[in-house]
Amino acid sequence: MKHLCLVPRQFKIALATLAAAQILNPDSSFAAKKQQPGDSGVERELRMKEGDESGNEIKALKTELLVMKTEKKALDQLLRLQKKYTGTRMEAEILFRLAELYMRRARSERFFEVHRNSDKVMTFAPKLVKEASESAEIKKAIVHYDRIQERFPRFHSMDIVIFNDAYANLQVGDDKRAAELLVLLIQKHSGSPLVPDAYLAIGEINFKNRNFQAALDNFKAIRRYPRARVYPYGIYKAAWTYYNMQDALSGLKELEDVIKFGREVATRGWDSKLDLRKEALGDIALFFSDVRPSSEAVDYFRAQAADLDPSQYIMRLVELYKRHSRHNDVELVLLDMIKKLPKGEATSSAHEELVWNYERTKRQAKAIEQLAAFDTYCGELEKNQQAECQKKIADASKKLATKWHGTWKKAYGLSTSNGGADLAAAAEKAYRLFLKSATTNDPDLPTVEYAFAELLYARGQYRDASQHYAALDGYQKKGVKLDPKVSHDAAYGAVVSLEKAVKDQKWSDEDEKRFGELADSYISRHPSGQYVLDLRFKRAFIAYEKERYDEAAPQFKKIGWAPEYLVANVVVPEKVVKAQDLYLDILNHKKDYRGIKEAAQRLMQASNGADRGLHIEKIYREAYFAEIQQKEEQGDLAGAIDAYKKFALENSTSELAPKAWWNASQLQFRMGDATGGANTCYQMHKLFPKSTNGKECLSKAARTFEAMGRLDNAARVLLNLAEVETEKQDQWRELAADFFALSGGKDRAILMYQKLAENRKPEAQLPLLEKAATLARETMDLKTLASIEAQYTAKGIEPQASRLVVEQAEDLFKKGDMTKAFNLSKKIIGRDGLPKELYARARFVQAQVLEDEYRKQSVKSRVERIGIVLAIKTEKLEKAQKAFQSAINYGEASVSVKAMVRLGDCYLDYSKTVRGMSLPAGMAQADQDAFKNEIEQLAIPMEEKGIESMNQALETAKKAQLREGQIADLQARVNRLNMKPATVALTVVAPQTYLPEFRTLASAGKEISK
Amino acid sequence: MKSFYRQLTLTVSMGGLLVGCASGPQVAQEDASAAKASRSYLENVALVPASEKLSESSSCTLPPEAQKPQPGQSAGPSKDWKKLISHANACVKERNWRTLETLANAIARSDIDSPWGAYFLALSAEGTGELSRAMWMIELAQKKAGGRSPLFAYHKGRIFFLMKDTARAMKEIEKAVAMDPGLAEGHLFLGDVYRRDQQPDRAQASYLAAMKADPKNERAIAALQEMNVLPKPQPQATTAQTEVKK
Repeated sequence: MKHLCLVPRQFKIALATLAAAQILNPDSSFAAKKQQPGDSGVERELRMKEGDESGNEIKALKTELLVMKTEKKALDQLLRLQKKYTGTRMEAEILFRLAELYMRRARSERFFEVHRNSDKVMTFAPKLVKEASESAEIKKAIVHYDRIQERFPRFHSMDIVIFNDAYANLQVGDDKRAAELLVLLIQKHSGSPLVPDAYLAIGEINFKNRNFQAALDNFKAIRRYPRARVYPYGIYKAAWTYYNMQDALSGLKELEDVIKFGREVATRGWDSKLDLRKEALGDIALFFSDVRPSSEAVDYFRAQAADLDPSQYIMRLVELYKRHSRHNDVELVLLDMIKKLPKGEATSSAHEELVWNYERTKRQAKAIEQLAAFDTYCGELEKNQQAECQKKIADASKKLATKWHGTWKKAYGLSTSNGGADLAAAAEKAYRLFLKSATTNDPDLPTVEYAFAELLYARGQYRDASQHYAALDGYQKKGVKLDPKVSHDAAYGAVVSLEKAVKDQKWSDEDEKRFGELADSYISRHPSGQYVLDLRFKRAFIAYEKERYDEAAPQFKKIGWAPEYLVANVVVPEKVVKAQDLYLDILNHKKDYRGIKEAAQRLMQASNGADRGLHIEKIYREAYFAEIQQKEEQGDLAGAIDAYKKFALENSTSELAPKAWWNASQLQFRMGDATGGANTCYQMHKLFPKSTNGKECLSKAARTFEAMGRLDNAARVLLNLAEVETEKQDQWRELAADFFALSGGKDRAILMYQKLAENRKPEAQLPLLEKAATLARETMDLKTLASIEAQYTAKGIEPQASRLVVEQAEDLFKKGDMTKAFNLSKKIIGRDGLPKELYARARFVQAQVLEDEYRKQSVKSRVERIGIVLAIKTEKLEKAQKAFQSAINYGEASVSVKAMVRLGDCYLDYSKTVRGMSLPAGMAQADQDAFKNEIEQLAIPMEEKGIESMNQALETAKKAQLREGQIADLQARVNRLNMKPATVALTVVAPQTYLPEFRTLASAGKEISK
Repeated sequence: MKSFYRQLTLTVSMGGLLVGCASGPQVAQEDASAAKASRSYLENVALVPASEKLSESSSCTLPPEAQKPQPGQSAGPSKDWKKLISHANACVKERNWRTLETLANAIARSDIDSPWGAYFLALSAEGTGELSRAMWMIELAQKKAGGRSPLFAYHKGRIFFLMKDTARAMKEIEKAVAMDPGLAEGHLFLGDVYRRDQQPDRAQASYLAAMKADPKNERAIAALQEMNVLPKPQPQATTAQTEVKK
């Protein structure tokens, strides 16, 4: 080990010197000053106050000024006395006093020198400060000491003069002069009590000049004066001199002597200033560490200290070991000390130091274990000792915790592998010990607790972390000011940790309450904090998750509908969007569709983002729709109808619009407002042509109008339905045409039928053309009729083509166009495969034409042509007869009856006609009679045939049950022919209309059958 | 010449209430649901021949309810339906077909299940000569009544008669009186046709049936007297509705 020139404590020497001066010169100014009765007021004024540095400085200045004033007075007085007593025996005494006074003044000068940089002192006494010079005053004293020695060698206190002179020279750095004076003292005044002091001083001068042997000799010389006050100092200094001479063992022995002497001083009750055991014990550690093993340390110190507490001196040894990184020695000594000196004053320090020793040797587990032991130790101390002990634990644990925590973060990246977990665990324990030990007014407490919370969070101990984060709020409530960032992060950390603690589990009531408290705390302390929104949202969300919708709803509303977000083109945070959605969801859950509608409408006005806007619009519409449905469910059907329609018109682009319109129609039907419902359906096709309900709605509208007998409306609806239901397009159009025909729209119907026929196959065209033809006939639309006939003919549609020809022939006959009528009929008869009815009718037309020819054939003629005329007439009759019989033979009752009647009429006409023939007046009576006889022969059979034909017609009509009055008519004719009296001919009229009358008792009329 | 009605032979199903359209809402079969829906409209109804005096008479005017008829509730008849029918009856009596049609439409609109709207529409069409339309409407009424109303069969017969299809008219009326022998006017019509067409036995049976339905029916009594089934009446006895043509 390298031994440096270590020095013992210097203050002891100065003290000893001054003390010696005081003993030897009790009347010195210093002593005198102390003995002066102080002015109690001034004394009080000048008394120092602890902690008041500025005030104390002024007070010290004032004191010095007072002293200087007194000294100046004393100096003036001495100088006057010097003049007065120069050359007398008093002069030596006066010089001595002057020297002493200059030494005292040197102290004052020193005061001002020391305070040269003090503004206050400079302000009060600038001149004094500037001119202050300690050495100048000391030199004045030296001059006076030297003058006494020169002029008054027999001065009674010459040993003191020499010693003080030496001391003054030491003060001004003149060691050589000082040493000369001290040697002079030893040699010339060997009996002086100041000789040991002189040895000590010479030893010090040599020691300072590293002249250790000389120093040691002088120090050893003191051992000859065991009663001297500097005796223990001499031994003590000798020990150090040995040490510097690298003889620690000898030095150790010297120190042991100092201790031994001190023990004797104490035992004998001598001046305690002579007891230097503590100084020796304090220094002995250095010597011990060089020459003795650590294992002996505790026992050695215990032995040396004896009745004194050795612990603090052992700690010095520990300190030395520590400086030299002798960690094992440290551990050994400290463990031994803790074990053997549990009550030692420095045992707590030993505990602490042991902790740090473990830390220095990277044994964190041992360190924390020791820290815990330390804590236990503190707890077992007297109460008045515990605070200090706890403070040590707090300090140590704080340092360790933060250090380990920092290392874990930095070196391990918060990883638990490769010892990271152990380090983190140690840090956690250290933090806990800190929090246990630290006093509430520890300024680091909040910061450390925050760090601890961070550690817990990093270690996944979230619930604990939350509590410790939250603790920072408590500090702030007590007035502790935290770094704003720490304050914020801690408040948020408390909440987040709690959330993490709960994980995905359901929030308990207790946790939820706590969350609320923490969130409130964050929000109130950091109203503009980054996470205010998140916390408000989460709080509401917990209530939502726990289905406390009434509680969650207003919170979500407050978040989602905050005015700052209801502005166009503002970026809306995700949480706000979510709050909006959840609020709407709650309203939906509560079936508060009106609420959803209004809320969504408000959002739509802001329309932030195209997608979001569309989404909200969809919600708005769905809610609007659902609200109407609700109205419907509540029975307000009329209101629901209006609302559905309003919705559909206001939201025509919505998918729900056609549904709303459809619903309105269905409600109208349900309410019995079939017309309204049908009209709504009719409008639906125009408003929402692509609606899926369009077909059904139109179909229902058509059915409704049909059911109401409003065929005109039904027809219009059917035309729309034809557009929607294309597969039945023709069917609905034909039906529409039917309805138009039945409701006054015959012209339109005709056109529609014809148009429909164009697109059909020939066989399917017929019914349509037939309808058109019938209507055309009813409306006398001959042009259309001709067109249809042309089509029939061109396309060879039978029997319609032939029927039209027959009808045309019948019509021509009625109009008197006999030739055309006959020829048209002839065409029919020439055709094959027609119904008998058409042949019969055609033949009947022909027969009637022939009848007409017969009837037109006159029988007026000259006598010589009568035969020819009758032959022609008869021939015409035969032709007509043949035609009528031909018509009759077809077996169509109605035609047959008519033909029989016409034929009968022909017969009767012939009979009547021939009977009406007469000969010229100039003919003989006999010729006349013969002619009439001949004519009668001709007429009678014909008349009989006519009657017979009429009877045949009657029978045929009866047999065929012809119900249009033919039977009665024929019967009347037959009766007339048979000369029977006319019978009452009954004309059947339409039966009466019945009218409904609602009665309680149906007595007057006929009650309708059920 | 055939009427348009006869020409329309298509049978188109619209589903629901009606089974036929263009050819009239043909009543293919009995419709229980329609009968149920219209039951309340047909209960306690006395059928009074138009020539007779009604016990409660109204004028042939349009009451406010007809000008803007309130939609009836689907659960049953509307409030004003009987009142509207009373006015319609008056219009039939006055042969005011335009007003009758308006009233009939109002009835059809406010009481869609009721057959009376269609019935009066049929009478209105008949009155204006639109026999095809009249036929379609009466068949609509028949359908609404569930398909088996003797009254509407009777009226269908009437329309056939006006279409000069007496045979089918008789068929419908025979069907009507078979369902409701109390329809004296139906029996009288049949009796007249049979009698005219020299089927005295059948005529006698019909007249007797008319008398059975309405024992004091003067026309039936007179006809039977003329047929010597009943003793001849005193000289002043005449028939009310039968026109005698000499």
